[in-house]
Amino acid sequence: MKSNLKTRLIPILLYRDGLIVKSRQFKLFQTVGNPFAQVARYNKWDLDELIYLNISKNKNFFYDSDIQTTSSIGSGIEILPKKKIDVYEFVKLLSKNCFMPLTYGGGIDSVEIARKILKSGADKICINSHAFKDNKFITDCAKEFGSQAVIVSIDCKKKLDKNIVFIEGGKLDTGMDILEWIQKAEALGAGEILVNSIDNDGVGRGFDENLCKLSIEKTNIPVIICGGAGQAEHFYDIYKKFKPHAMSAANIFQFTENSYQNIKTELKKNKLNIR
Amino acid sequence: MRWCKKCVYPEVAVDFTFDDQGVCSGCLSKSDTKNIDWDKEWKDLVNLVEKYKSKDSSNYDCIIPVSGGKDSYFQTYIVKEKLKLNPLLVTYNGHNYLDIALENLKNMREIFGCDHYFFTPSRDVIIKMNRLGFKLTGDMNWHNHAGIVTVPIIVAAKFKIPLIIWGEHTLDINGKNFLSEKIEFTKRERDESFLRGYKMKDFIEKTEKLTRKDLQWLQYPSDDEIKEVGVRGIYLGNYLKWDGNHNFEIAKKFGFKTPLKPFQRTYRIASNLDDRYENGVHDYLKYVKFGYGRATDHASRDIRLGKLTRKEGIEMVKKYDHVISEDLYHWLEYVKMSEKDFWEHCDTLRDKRVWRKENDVWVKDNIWDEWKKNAP
Repeated sequence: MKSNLKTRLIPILLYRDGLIVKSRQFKLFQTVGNPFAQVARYNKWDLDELIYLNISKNKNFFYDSDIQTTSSIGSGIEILPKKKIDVYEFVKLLSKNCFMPLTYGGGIDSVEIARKILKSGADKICINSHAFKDNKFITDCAKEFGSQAVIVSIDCKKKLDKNIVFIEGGKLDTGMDILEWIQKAEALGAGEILVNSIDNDGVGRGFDENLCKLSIEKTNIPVIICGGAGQAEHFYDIYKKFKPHAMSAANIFQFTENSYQNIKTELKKNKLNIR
Repeated sequence: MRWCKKCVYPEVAVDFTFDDQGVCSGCLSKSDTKNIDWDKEWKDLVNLVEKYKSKDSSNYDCIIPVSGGKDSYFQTYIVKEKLKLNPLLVTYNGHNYLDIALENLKNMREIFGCDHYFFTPSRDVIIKMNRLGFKLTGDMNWHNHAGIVTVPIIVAAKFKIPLIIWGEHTLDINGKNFLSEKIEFTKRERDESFLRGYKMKDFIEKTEKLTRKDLQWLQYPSDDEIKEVGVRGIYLGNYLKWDGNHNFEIAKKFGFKTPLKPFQRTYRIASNLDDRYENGVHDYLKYVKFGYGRATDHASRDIRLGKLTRKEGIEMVKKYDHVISEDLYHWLEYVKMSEKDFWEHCDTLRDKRVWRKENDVWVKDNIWDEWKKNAP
C-alpha cells in the first residue's frame, strides 16, 4: 500500500565472510571493508534505520580477525575481537556500536535463532529463504516477537515479463510469481516486506518501476523497495510515482561523504514527505 | 594460491575479490570503463567545477593535493590549463623526497604559476613516526599516507576552499569500485584504506613519547567543519581516461625529470619519485606481508592498459618482486635501527596464507609456477 506516513530512507550493509561488500546482481562482490567502520559513519549521519544482512558464502556465520589483515583493523570501533566469534556475539557487538534501529538478517532459520538474535540487540529480524521453504516460520516468528519485528525479504528476477522469486542468495529459482508470495507472506504475518530486484542490484540505473508498482499496490503492509538506486533522482522518481513506506539501497550511501544527509536534503528540497 | 587469469595479482592482494571465472575485481572494474562516454564525463566535470569557481576572486577555486610526480603535473595541467581554475597546490612533505623529485615539484609550481602550500612536520617527529609505523602497522610510510589524506583536508577547511581535486581513483586498481560509481573522497575510506584503521591515539604511546601536540597535522577536521565549508573531494580519474604512461609524456613536456638510476624493485622509471622508500623498502614490506610487490602492481596496470602481455608481466614479477633494495640501509641509518631488529620484526608480519617455512627458510607459491598446479 502507499504510505501516508513519512517515507523512511534505509541504508543496507552487506556482510560477506568477515567484510562489508557491495554486490552487483548477486554475482560480483566488491570489498568495502571492516564490518563496523561504515556503521560508525552512519551513527554520525543520523539514519532512520539500518538493515544489516549477512550474505556470506560460508553457511555458518563467519568472523575471523585474521581476515582483517587485508583490510582495516580498528577503525570505527574501539575493540575489534581478536578471535573467532559466533553470530550472537557479533550482533551484540554490532548493536552496541549502532545508534539507530537495527534489523539483522541472513541465516535465520529457526525461532530459536531469531530469538537469540533479537536478544543480542537487533530490533527486527529479516528472513528470506527459510520463510519460503517453511511458511509457518513467518507465523511462528510473528506470534513470538510481534509482526513489527519481522521483515520478510524477497529477491526476484525478471523472466519473460514475470517477476520470479529466487531464494538462497539468488541461486535457486522457485518458479513462483512475486505477487503470490508477497500476498502469502502478508497473510502469514509479515510486518514488512523488503523487495529487491536481482537484475537491478548494484547497477545504479534506478529502481525497477514495475516491481515497485506491483509490490506497493497489492499489499496492505509496508514495503521497503530496494535495488538500483544510483543517484538521488532515483529515489525521487519512485517516491513521486508510488510513495513507498521505505526506500533502501546499499552501495550508493558508500560513494560520497555525508551521502545519506545530502540525499535527504535533496529530496526534502523537492518537498517530498521524507522522515 | 590463485592469481588473476588476466593480470598478475594474487588472490590475497589487498581488497581484491575474484569472480567465478578467476578474474580479479581490478580487471573487471577496468573492463567496465569501456562503456564510459568520456566526452560526456568531461562535460560533467566542466559543469561541476563551474559551481566552485570563486565568483569575486576572493578565494582559490580548488585545492590540488600534489607530490610533484608525473600525475601531479597532469592534474595541475588539466585543472589550470584546461578547466581554467585557480588552484592552491598542497603538499605533505614526509621527509622522503629524492632530490630530483623536489626539483620536479619546484619546477611544477613555477611553470604552472601556482601558489603552493608546502607542509613539513618536524624531523624528529617523523623519525619517530617511521619507527612506530614500522613496529605498529608494518609500514614505515604510514605517516606519509596519513599526511597526504589529512593535510589537504585541513587546508580546505581552514582556507574555506570546498573543492579538492584528487588524481587517480586508486581504488579502481583493486576493483573495490567501478569508475561509473563516481566515488568521492570519504572519511571512512581515509580511515580504512589509507590509515588502515590506525588512529592518532595509536601513536601516542610510551616508547616514542609522542604527544597530541606533535601530531596536529593528523587531526582530521570534524564533520561539522567539513559540512560548514562543504568540503568535497572528487577524482579526476572518474572524468577522463587515466594512464600513468600518458601522464608521464605530458609531464615531460613541462620539464619533469626522471632519476638517472633506475629503481631496483620495478621496471617503471617515473612512478613514486616523491618518496624514496615507496618503490623500495616500503614496498618490500608489502612483499614480506602479502608476497607481492610493486612490479606486480605496475605489470598488472600495464597489462590492463595493453602495454604488456601477461607473460611479460610475469617476467617482471619474477625479476623484481623479491629484490631487497639498498634504501633499506638508508632507512635503518635514518631511524637508527639494526638490520637484525628489522628482519626479526618482518617475520612477525608474514601472512600465513602466503608464507610457510621449509628447512627454516620462508617460501611461498609463485605465479611462474602456476602451470604446475594445472598440469596433469
